[in-house]
Amino acid sequence: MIEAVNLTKRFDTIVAADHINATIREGSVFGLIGTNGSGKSTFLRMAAGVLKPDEGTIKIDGAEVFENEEAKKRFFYISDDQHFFSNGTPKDMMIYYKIAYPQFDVDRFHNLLRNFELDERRKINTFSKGMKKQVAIICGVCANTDYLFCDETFDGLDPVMRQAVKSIFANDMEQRNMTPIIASHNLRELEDICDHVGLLHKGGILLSRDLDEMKMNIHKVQCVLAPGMAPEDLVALEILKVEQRGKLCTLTVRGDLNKIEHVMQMAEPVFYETIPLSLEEIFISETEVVGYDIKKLIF
Amino acid sequence: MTSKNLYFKLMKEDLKSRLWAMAILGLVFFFVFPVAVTMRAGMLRDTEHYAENLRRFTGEVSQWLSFSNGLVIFMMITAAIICGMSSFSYLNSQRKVDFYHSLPIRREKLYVVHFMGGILIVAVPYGIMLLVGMLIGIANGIKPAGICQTALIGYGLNLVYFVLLYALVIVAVMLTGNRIVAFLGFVVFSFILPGIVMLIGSYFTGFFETCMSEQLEVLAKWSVHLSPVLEYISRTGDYARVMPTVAAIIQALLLAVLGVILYHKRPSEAAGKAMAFEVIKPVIRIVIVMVSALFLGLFFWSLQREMPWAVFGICCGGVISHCVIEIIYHFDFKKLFFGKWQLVGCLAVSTLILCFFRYDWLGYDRYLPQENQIRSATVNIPGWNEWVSYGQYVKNPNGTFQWKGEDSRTYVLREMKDVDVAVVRQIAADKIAAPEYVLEDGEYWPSTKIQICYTLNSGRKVYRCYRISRNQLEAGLLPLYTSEAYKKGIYPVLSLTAGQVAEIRYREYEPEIRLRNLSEAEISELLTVYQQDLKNLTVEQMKQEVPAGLIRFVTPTEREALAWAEQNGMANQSRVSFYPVYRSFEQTCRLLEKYGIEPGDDFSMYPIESYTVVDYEAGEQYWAEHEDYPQYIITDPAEVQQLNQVVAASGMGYYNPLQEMENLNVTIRFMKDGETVEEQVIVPKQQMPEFLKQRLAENRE
Repeated sequence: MIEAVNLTKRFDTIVAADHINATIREGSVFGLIGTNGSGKSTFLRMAAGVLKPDEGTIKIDGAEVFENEEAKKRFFYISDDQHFFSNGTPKDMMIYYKIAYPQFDVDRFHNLLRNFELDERRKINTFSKGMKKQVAIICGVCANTDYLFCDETFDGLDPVMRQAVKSIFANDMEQRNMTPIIASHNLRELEDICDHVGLLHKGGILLSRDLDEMKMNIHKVQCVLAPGMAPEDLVALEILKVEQRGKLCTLTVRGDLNKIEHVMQMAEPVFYETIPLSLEEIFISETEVVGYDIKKLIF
Repeated sequence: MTSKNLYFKLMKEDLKSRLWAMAILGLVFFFVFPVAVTMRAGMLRDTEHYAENLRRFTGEVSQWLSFSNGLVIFMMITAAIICGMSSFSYLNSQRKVDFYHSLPIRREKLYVVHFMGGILIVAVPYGIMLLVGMLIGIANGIKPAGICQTALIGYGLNLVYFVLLYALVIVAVMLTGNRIVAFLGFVVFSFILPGIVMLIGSYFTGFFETCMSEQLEVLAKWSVHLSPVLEYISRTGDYARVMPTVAAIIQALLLAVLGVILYHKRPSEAAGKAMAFEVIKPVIRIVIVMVSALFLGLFFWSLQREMPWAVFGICCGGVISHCVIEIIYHFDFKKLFFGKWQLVGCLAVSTLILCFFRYDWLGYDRYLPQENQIRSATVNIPGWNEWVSYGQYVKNPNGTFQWKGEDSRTYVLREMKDVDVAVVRQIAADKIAAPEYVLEDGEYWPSTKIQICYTLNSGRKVYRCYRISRNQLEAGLLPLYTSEAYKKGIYPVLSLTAGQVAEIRYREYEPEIRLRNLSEAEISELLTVYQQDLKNLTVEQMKQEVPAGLIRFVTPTEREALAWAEQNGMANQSRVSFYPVYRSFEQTCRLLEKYGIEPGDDFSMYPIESYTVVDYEAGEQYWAEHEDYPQYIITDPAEVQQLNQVVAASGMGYYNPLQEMENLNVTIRFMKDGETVEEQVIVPKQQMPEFLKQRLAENRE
């Protein structure tokens, strides 16, 4: 488990991470969402032991990360602009990583390179941006670490590759309980892979929730209420948002699905149906509650 | 996986990524050693002079492969900069820092790996090419033992200094986040301390009349040790001394440790910034701004000698350096005056320092210790004993001899003992009371420098230097020159004992004569007599006479060195350890006559045709009627005989600092080996024959 407590980092007068508290459990995919400059990369760089926090701590299973070889052996960090040796080939990188990460799976590295149709003897500086990302991800996965820190890793991957990478992640999570921590400014990119999402804004964490929990706890109800009835009359529901087009109301409601359906049945509307919310919609609703217009933040 | 393996593997990967550097150095060393030695071997094709050429070839190759090769030293300095920069260049890039610092490898391990990698990049190609060069030399006839030792010592010493400079570059890299700033940092670290020392010395000598300029030279020599680069360059060829090498090794180790500490503390986010540590910024800025301000202040002062210009220089130096530093710190031209209050503070302090020196607020020039505060005092008058040789011959390991000279100030101030403190103090007190130098009537001499060293009761030595007129000096010197302690301090011959003298030589115009077959007792007698005559020499005698000849009391080492010089055709180059023999040194002259030498008769033994006197002091009346200096040709045997009694070879004047400016330079014409020869001789004013005085007087009125 990775635990950040009051994690703070300042660059001169800029507070890049402002007392972040977060817990990342093993075996789940943690998504870090935020706009540019929200502190995602800073958080990951502190988690990776690159930066030393000015305040607070970040620990992996109770061990401080900074300058701690044992703790650092448990993760692999893929930065948003990963460094490769000048004139280095994927094979050169593999050799170096094998020294640093004794568990590095060389056979799998070869296989994955083959599957991704990447030449392990070709200089990486002749690769496209997407291909470089693929090399970085393959190195990261083959390092066989418990955690994989990905900073904007999916940015630049085509949809097919993105799916391929996601399936590799899913496979590793299943087989060896790997925990990817993925930072991205694109919520839609993480929707189908994250179990837990942390929303960063201006260096602080705005929200940190389990996706399933959020999905189970927030619903959209489309309904045409009985004549003379208004959404405000449904007092038993915790309505977060109301949209009305003619007689058709769309309600965003927090609470248990059975309870919501029960309340709706009791209200005897002309018509109603409950539909699942996209991650984007959940976030919009949740952040609006705390006073933010998330559309301005991340879309 | 053991740590040893980890280091080895990481180093291997590091070297793989820096093969370019090793290849370039390998190529350069290939030309410097194997190619250069092979080219020199070409001289051996001349089989007629093979033995001589082989000796020359051996000497040249040994020199080339040794610690004396300036090209290798230049290469080592360059290589240290390149390797130091490249070893930790990743610290200047955030992308690379993210990569290296996220790996499960402690910074200390990364440091060791990259540090050692940088050394190997130089040590391996240097070692291999040196070995090849050596083998080529051996294959061409050089004896292996000698050349191996020379080359190995050179290799070791060059690597020691390489590591020292390399570690310094790394410290600069650790303190900065940008390659260019790191290089500038290296330059600053290499030269700032000698620069500061020299600047302080220049302020002392520039503003204080009584500060010895020689101390600046001493300071300059000493300040070399504060810069690894200068120390390295200054040590070229000096492979015998162990202490400087040990000091260099210790410094290199300390810098290497400092480097690892800085790396441990260095924030990763420093990549790309000018400075890695905020706390260092003001320190470096203040030092550089103040040094620049004071330097330009002194520069403008030396140009105009006016305070407003000196202050202008301080402002220019301070503002310009401050702005440049701020631009570098922020990479932003608009931040020129960031930290302007520090600039104001630096300018104020610099101006204050200038005032301290300009107005002598500390009373440096007025310093005169109380007599009861002085344990002893010594005096040196450089212009008066510049003819005295201070130093000794030393034998080099290769069998050659070298004169290791010592400046008169060092020798005299060290050796002079028991001089009358009151007399010395009075000279200083007179000068402090009347600090301005005024040429006195009839004085043509430039002002004379007098150096004083007080040893205070506390043991502290205080040096002062005064410029005084000749008359002031003579007045002060009269009691001093009669003191045996003073003379013993300035004439090393007075400390010689008979046991230290192997032979005695004498010369005037003719080549040096050895006084052969002198017994120990005779040597002792002549030495004692000469010492007594020299001790009795007075200022008045020196003013009246010019030495008739020169005597040299040769020590065993000197005799060996002179023999070596004669064998190598350099006998005439030896002009050390000569002392003047005046005609008034009666006892000495008497003994010399006993051994067949008559002082002052070198010209008398030749048939003298004439003496030609040109009078440069002719009066206005003469010039109204003539267009050239009056010239008198003296051929009358009686007059010639009179002149013979007083003339001295022209070179003798050098050995008497008090000789009158009015002494006449006369041309003597005589027959030598069937040819007519002309030489310049001196006729002392005080001993001028009456007939010549009268003749000169005719045209001077």
